[in-house]
Amino acid sequence: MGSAKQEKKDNFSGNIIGEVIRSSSTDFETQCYELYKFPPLGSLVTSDDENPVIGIVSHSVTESMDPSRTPRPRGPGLDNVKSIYDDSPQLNNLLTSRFTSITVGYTKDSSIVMKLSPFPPRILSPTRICNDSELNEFSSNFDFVSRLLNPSIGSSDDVLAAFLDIASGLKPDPEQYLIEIGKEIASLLPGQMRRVNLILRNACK
Amino acid sequence: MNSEERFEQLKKNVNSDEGWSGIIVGGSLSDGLDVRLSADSSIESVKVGRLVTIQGKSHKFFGQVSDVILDSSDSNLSAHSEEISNGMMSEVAIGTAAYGLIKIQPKLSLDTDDISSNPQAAKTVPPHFSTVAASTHADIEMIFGKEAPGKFWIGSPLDMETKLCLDINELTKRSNGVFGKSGTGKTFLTRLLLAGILQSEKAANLVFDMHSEYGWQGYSETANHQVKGLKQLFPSKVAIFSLDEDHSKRRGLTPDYVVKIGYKEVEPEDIEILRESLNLSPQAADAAHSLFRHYGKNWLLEFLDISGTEAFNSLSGQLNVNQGALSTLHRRLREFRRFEFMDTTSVHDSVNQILRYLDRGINVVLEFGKYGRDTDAYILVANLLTRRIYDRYAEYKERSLSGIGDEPIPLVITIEEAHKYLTPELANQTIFGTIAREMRKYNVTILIVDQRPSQIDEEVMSQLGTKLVCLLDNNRDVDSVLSGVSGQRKLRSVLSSLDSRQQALLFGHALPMPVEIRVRDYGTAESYKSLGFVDTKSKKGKHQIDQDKSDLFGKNT
Repeated sequence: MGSAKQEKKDNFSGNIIGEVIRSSSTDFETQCYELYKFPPLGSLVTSDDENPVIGIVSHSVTESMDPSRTPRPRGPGLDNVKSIYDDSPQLNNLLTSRFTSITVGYTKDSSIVMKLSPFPPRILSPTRICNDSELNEFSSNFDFVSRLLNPSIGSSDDVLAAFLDIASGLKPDPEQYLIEIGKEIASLLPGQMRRVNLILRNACK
Repeated sequence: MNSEERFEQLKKNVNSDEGWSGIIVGGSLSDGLDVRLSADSSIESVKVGRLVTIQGKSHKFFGQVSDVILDSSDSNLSAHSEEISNGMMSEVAIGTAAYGLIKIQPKLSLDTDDISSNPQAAKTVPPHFSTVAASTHADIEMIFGKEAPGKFWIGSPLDMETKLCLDINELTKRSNGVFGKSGTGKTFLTRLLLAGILQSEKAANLVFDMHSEYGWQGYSETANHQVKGLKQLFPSKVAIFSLDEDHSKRRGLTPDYVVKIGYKEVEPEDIEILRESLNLSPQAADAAHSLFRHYGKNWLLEFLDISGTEAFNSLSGQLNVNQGALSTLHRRLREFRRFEFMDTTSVHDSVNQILRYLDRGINVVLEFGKYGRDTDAYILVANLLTRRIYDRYAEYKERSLSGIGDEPIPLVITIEEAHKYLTPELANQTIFGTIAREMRKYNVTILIVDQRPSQIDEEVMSQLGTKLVCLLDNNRDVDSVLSGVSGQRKLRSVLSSLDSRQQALLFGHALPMPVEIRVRDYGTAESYKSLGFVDTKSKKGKHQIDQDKSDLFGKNT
């Protein structure tokens, strides 16, 4: 039993991409271990501690670690951005990549609960990208849609579209999945069929 | 497979789920309930007129679909229709932003907590989000009752194969009407109704059969073949009387009695109701009364024997009646000489004969033969016989009320072309007007079969208990049939959308709620069998004949 748990942890540890540096009831921010190694917009992530909290990546940012020292352009005539990073390895320590995840649920007794977590993730909890089976299980229940359509989230429609793009790719019949979830979105956005149409259009590859 | 077996089979195959269901989202008792169809419902499977069942909290409601509407929650749907109607998006929109709405008129409610209760007229509505679905066979049986003695299977609700039954007991308590344009199946419906009354043995029928189509052999225009009359289906329960023996014999029928009317039997009242069809002035019709006072019972014959201007002058002087009116009356009444059923000898026994049959519970169909084409003859004979029968019934009834003798078996008199003699001007004078108004005081009711209900006196129409209406498209006819009925506007649309064959709208006393039906088949071997017809060629049939014989004449000892 213990070894199985260890094996699971090893599998997941590969997906750990950073640690929580700010958390609240509604969202949490993760700082990536490596510069630019954040998950794509709309990815499903989870804090990996005693009370795992599930979120959907809604916003990512890369900036100077020291807010008083902002990067300056290197000037015209530069051909290759990659060579700058190769030539200046210190950049990895001066810059940081962070992403914000909207809390859409939590895990309790190995099952997913689609509600805000009673407690936000602890600071420095590892954050990992959920694997396909977790994503499949999570996306089969449409309760998360209403959370994502919350107007307080910036670009919420695009975040939802990005998530659906990823999730539908795992379904045997992606179009049918989008139709079903489209009905859920349409019922949550009465009188806004045009908006529903845009979300679904963006969710189609 | 006979019709019974086929029906049972069909009943098993039909799923109560007809491809749609919905929930109540609003509405009112007076304007009907709004029902939003579930996302997976097919709007095309919901039809106007369909009976539906609504499951409320403590009551079950029954109603009828009165409208089917395409609705949407997005007021801009039409503006973005092109964008939305394509591919996946249209599927998303259907059932969410664009959905089906149906209007339901609640009619009855049933207390589900009290098993013994009967459906009552709906006085309230089910709460929001109650589920609505097409009524099942069991629901229909609960509302209209199962086929049983006194409950006659008249047809099935549209789009269903359930037997819908009429309560014959309630039906025969009041006068009734069968209306419809010519060729819409009035005769078939009436024949079925007569068979139902006959089978129930709750009442006896007396049919004034204008076109000789109820008693012996009718004709189906759709199937192009002869159909059996009541006498052929129930030989021991029906007697055929005829005014035109030759006509009956040509059709292979020996009438049970040939009706003759004595001149002495004609009274001035009989002339009064012929005033319009004989084109008589009120003075001329009044002259008949003066003649009756002058000559006594034999007035008609003596009057018809008068000839010559002098004789008229002197009679006019004696009676103090205008000579012109008198000679017009004479001219018109001479037409009676054409009627071979008129007899100069003493009073005939036709009324007693009819009563003798009716007393034994045997139904009487009076065929008019060639006189069916003559409205005067029809009105004269029907009115004359009915008046005397009615008087006799009144006498029986009064006697039974004072404890002498039994109550007479209720009598249903079927009359056709009533718009010619139940007009507002004449209805007060004919016996049929009296019967319709006085209802079943004396156990006599009428069944009016007519195609122009608007010409019939409003008061008579308002007294009809149950109306069975085939397609009518004249606005005045529709108005007159529906006057005084609640939900008139909706029934009007139902009535105008009936098929021109084998469909009818039934409402009134004998039914808990108005319903459109597909009239039961009549004219096939299966339909005869289901009505209880026994084929005399079969072994079972011979047994039945022997049984009938012993019932009628007693056992041979």
